[in-house]
Amino acid sequence: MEFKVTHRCHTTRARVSRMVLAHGETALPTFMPVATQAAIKGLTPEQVESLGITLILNNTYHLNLRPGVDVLKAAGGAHLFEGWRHNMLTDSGGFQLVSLSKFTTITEKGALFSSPFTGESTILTPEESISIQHAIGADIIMQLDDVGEYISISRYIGPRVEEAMERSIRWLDRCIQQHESSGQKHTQNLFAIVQGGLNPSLRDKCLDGMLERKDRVSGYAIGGLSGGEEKDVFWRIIKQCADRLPEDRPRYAMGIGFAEDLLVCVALGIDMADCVFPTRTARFGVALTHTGPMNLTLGKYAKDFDTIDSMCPCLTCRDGTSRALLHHIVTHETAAAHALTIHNIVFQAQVMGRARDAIIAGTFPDYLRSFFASYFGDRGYPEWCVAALRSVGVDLLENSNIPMVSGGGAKWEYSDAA
Amino acid sequence: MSSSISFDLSSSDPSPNDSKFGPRVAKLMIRKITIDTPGILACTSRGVVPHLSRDNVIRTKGIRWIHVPFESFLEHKPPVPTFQPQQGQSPRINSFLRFSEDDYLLSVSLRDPGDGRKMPANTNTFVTANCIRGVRKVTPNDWRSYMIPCNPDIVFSLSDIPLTPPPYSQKRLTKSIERSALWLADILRPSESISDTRNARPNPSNVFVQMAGSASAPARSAFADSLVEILHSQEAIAIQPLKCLDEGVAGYVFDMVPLRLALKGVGDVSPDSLTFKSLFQASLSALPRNKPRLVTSVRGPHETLRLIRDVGIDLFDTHWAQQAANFGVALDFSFPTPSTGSGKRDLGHNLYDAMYTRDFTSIMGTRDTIPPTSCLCAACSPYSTPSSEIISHSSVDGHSIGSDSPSPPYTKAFLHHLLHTHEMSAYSLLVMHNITVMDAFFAGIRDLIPQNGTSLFQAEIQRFFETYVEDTDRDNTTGGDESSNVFKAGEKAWAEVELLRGKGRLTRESEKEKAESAAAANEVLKKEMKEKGVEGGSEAALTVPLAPDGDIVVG
Repeated sequence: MEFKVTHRCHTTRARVSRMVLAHGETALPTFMPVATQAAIKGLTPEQVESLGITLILNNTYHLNLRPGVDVLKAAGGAHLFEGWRHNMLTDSGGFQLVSLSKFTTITEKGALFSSPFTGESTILTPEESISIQHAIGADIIMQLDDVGEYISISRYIGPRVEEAMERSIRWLDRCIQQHESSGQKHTQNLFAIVQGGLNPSLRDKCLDGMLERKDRVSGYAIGGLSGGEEKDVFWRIIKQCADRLPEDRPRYAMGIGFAEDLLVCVALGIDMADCVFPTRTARFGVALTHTGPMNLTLGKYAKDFDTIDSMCPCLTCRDGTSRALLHHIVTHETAAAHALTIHNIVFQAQVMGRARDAIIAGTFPDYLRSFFASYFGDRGYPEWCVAALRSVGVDLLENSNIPMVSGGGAKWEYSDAA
Repeated sequence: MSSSISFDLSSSDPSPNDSKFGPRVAKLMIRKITIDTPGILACTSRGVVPHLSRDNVIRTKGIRWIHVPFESFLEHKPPVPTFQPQQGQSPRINSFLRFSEDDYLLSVSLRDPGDGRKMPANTNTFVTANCIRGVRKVTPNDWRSYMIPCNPDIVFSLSDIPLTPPPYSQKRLTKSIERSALWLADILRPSESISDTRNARPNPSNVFVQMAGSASAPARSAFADSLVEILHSQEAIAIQPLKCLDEGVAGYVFDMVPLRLALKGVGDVSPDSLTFKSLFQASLSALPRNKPRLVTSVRGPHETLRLIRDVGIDLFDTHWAQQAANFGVALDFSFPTPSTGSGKRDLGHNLYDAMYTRDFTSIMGTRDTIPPTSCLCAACSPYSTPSSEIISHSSVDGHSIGSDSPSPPYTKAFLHHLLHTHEMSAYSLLVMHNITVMDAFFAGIRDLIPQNGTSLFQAEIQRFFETYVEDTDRDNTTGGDESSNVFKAGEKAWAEVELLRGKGRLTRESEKEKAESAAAANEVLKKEMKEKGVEGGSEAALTVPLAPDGDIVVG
């Protein structure tokens, strides 16, 4: 991997960098759409490429199940199998194993899964996870980490968190070992994942351990923060990790997708993020815009002949597809899901692309201010956003008559009829 | 504002016999668009080609003529497309649905011609139509009030097509003929009211009529007669300056779905080609040959070839091909047919089948000793956007390597994977492919029709029938014969995947487990019964019953 920071924001911790992998160049910071089962849902790789996307995420858990490692090997890897010619990142499979199944127990050896029906047990070890990711052939691969409990307070606090964090460091070593002995070291790049729940001292401990391995990993992810935790805690953990992670390694916030979350993370020094949110919400009929999400299932759009966003470069908008037509087809026709998926992917890419340009031009704080004003102007800035940005020198409230509101602040659009 | 279509048959020399019904090549033109016939029209649902986003419609060159059933818009009264702001010269319906009038011809009917579900009966004053909020009654006035502002290139006049269970009495057929003629007259009359003429021409200029008469040749003849009959007094004044209804008719439509339904009521006889031939010739005998003939819901290429050969049909919708995509069937046939030694083959591949798990050939990849056909669809010849047209999000966007070089075709193995994981992109790829196969099929037909005089065309038709297994009435294929109809196999596989959709790996395993245990238990039971000499032997074995929650019921 070639990784070089090319520009830095003079106020915040944001930076623009250039990452060159085996399948091409990707400009950072960027957002990665998720192609769960070897496809961005509803779109062909040609379509995704035409939207200016150069890096997508594939799920190891799903690909290992279907089509399976044998088929992928016979195809020559996931790129060839699914027809995606640019960069790809795979996660380790650990998260889904826990989130999608009640029958998984984490042991030191690996994640043990027992099927209650077939009685058969399979174990996903760090070595096995890396080996599957080798067969998939993604340009960036993730260590298998111990994600702790899923949906439980003990995910965030308590002895299980410490155990998971310590184990993640040991598993990182095993992943490094497997990766280095595979011969794939120079085409595929291994990232470590910082764990430690919401406990700053555990996070510090994890950072200590993982930074020692700096020369043997290509990048660092911050894990354990996509489970709906308090936003005010979330940004502090991101900041803590980003402050300590090396400047010359890409930083990846896993499972982050809301525009406001992305921009706060970028301001704190994050370079990449992935999430199913924009593509999933598209399938539910919601278009993302710079003034907030637009729920096209609502009756108020039935006779609205404007496009979603007249300035949007996506084909759905450029071609003049009206909100009225979209309202008529959303949730009824797959073509509606495709139209909105295209739009939302472009929206996310625009948010990040404008961030890059602003950082280069030295106007990133202004970009933050104008984005947040446009997005939250009608409701008020979420408190946590104000605090997070203040910590890096940007005060949203300065010279603004938009109030601050408490709470997570996630925007949604409801029916007027309610 | 409106444009007339022209239908130019000049390239076809009528042969001495059956000049009216022989195969013919023509050009149908409107504005800058030329449709070569015999040719195709694509079907839509709720105004869009199912599964295709805008860019994929553009990528599929076979889509030039688009048919839109209007009924889904009846949710709102007045329907939303009538409110579309006028944009330049573009007909409102084109603007609303984003089919540029420079590239696409739009035809509109009230009902979906492919929808044969039972409907409440029409009356003298209205037609019943289906929208998501239920049945709507549409009067001829309503229809005018929708079609005049929407201004599609081609409007189907309202017709009374019975969709109640057959058989249809003489009385019912007479009503059908009379109402359809009356309603045709209604759409043809010039408008008097100011509001009608506010935005568009006084009446739709390109009206197609659905040929009434159902499965009765005399009824069909009578309907055709009523079209060419010179009208008198009041009726004549109403449609001035036209002297007869046919003068205002731009094309004739034959709907296969209600016809097949009607023929079921005539007896157990499965409709054969002779039946359709005689019925359609009965409709067309009295009518001029120089107007386009359109068939909706034709069932596949065999029926298509017969209708071209025996009746001289010019246009067919791609309903069958689009439906095949929904069931995971990728079409793979061409006309003329490349020669092959081995026996009959299927018209396509049921990509759900396990045999494709590791098949990394393209959809129309090598088969037997036949070289691959070069299919230009987005699945077989993926079209990569040139670098200059890729959306740029910043001044330092990552540059893609080699996006200007062609990509390899999508493989059967990948489509197989997409189908089993219920990914929507499977359908997008298959629809684009299937419509493209149909487009190439018709190009082959157009090339050969001029050879009709040398009987080469007829010989090729024969060879096509001998090479490919026809998709006959799927309801009539017997149980054990499922595999003989690749479409039926696809439907079955689709249903299985659909049932397990979204339920995840554990449910899939448990369902499989239960099915296997039930089958195993059944075997044991049968064995025991056989041993014990139970009456009826193993044939009397009962299936192990499953309780509603899927657990095996004991005792």
